[in-house]
Amino acid sequence: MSSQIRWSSTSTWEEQLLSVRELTVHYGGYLALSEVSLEVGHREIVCVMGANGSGKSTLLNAVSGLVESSGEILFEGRLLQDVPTYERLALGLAHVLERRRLFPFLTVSENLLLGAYLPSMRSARAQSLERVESLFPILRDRRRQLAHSLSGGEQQQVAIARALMGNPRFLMLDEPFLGLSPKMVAEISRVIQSINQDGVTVLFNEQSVQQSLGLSDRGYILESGRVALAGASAELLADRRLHSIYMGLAGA
Amino acid sequence: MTDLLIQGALSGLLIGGVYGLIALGLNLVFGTMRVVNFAQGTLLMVAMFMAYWLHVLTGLHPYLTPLVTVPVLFGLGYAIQVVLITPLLAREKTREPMSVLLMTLGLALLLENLALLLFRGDYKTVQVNQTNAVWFLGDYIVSVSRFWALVALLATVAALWAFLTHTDLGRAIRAVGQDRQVARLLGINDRVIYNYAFGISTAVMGIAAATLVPFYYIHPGVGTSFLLKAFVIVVLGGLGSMPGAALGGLAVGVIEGVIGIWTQAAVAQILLFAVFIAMLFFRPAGLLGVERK
Repeated sequence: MSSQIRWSSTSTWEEQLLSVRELTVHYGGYLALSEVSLEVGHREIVCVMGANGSGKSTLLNAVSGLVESSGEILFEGRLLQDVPTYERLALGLAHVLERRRLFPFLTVSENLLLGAYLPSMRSARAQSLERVESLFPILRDRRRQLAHSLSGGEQQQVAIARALMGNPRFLMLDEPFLGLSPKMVAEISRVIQSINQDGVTVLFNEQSVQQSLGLSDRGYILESGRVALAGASAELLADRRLHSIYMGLAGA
Repeated sequence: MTDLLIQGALSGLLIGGVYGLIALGLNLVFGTMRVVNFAQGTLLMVAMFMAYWLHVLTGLHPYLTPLVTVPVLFGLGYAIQVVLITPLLAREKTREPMSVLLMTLGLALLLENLALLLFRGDYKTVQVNQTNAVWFLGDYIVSVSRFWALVALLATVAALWAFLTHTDLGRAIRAVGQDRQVARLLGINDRVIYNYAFGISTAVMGIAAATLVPFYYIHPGVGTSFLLKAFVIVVLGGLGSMPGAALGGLAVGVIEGVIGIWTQAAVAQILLFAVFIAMLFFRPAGLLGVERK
């Protein structure tokens, strides 16, 4: 689980896959993110934790361009704010939104095929499909089923599988464990580790500290749109400040 | 009496094919863009004039005019979307953009008056072999031209359905209609998808026009009555539902045909719009529509 490239305070953005600097997002008059800086190195698993409204979804949405932001978002040194959302997948950046967001009235296989919609991805479709179905074997039995008729856990599997159909190098997951059974949480965690070992960098959001820090190399804790705490997961788990920030949520 | 009713239902079923085609175009745009296109009926009128003039000037049989009109109308629809609708959509951030809806109404009036200016208000008709031809089905009469209208509807629905489910572009059109944010994340440029949806829904009018021209009058105002019926149909069949549009079209045709036999045609129209209002109250998703989130 630990990555080959360790993060250190001396690292510069050139070594990072994603580098977010002083990111600020406003919703009307409401300040959702305030000068947040964050780094994700190649092949790392990084988590962003925080309560509801702390800005952790907004952070991911800014990286994929669903919300406008000021500050800098650099992906392999390239300024992402100049790239329209629909061109970011071609750069290798995939995003699974909160609550899975499958196309409800399309079948599982149609959802998956749309994950490899771009012409450059179509030739590798058969292999991609085989790969995601070996990661999530249950999908083989669900191909012709409409997405909205699946259980929450199955929907999450399809959502991640759809994102992997385009062979991304960087995968963002917004609350991947929300509302899932412990068994399904373990299943999704296993897949996240497995794709990470295959070279995919992962950035995910989660409310539960135990869940997140158990899976990630490093973590950031957001509080009211600012980074309250950041560091290696093992150190964060031992940090008393974490518990004072999180209070009731820590064990959730 | 029963014989008459069956005859009425049969004729209604056959004209219902044309209604269904227009509703199909309306539904494709609504399902993708959440815009009710008030210009749909007027675009049918444009298509009918294209078919008419092609027939008059070149002698081309109306049934062959889609070879020319479908590609031209696709281009026209695509251009309308790019030039007129996209700039408005970019300014409106809401899911069901009001200014676009009003713009399509303005476009309808503009095209209708332009047609009045160019072609005058007299009623034009086309006479071909199929115009007055009938077949006998046992004791019942089947109008040949209306029969082909029904065949065209069924073939167009089948072709559109195959396109929407078995091609990348078709799947992308449905995906954008269901969740455009996710579609963007998957690399789909929703603006371009809208262009295709509007282009296709306009192109379908070329097929409707080809089947109508042999048995219906051609006039700048001809689109309006079709548009109103298409509204009833999409509400009956379900907004955004393709099979709903086809079945709704046939249903409206049959209702008209049967009630027209029983009483006068005006009563059929009154009942039709009463059904329309009742559906909005009691089953807004339509007979085949799915409740949207």
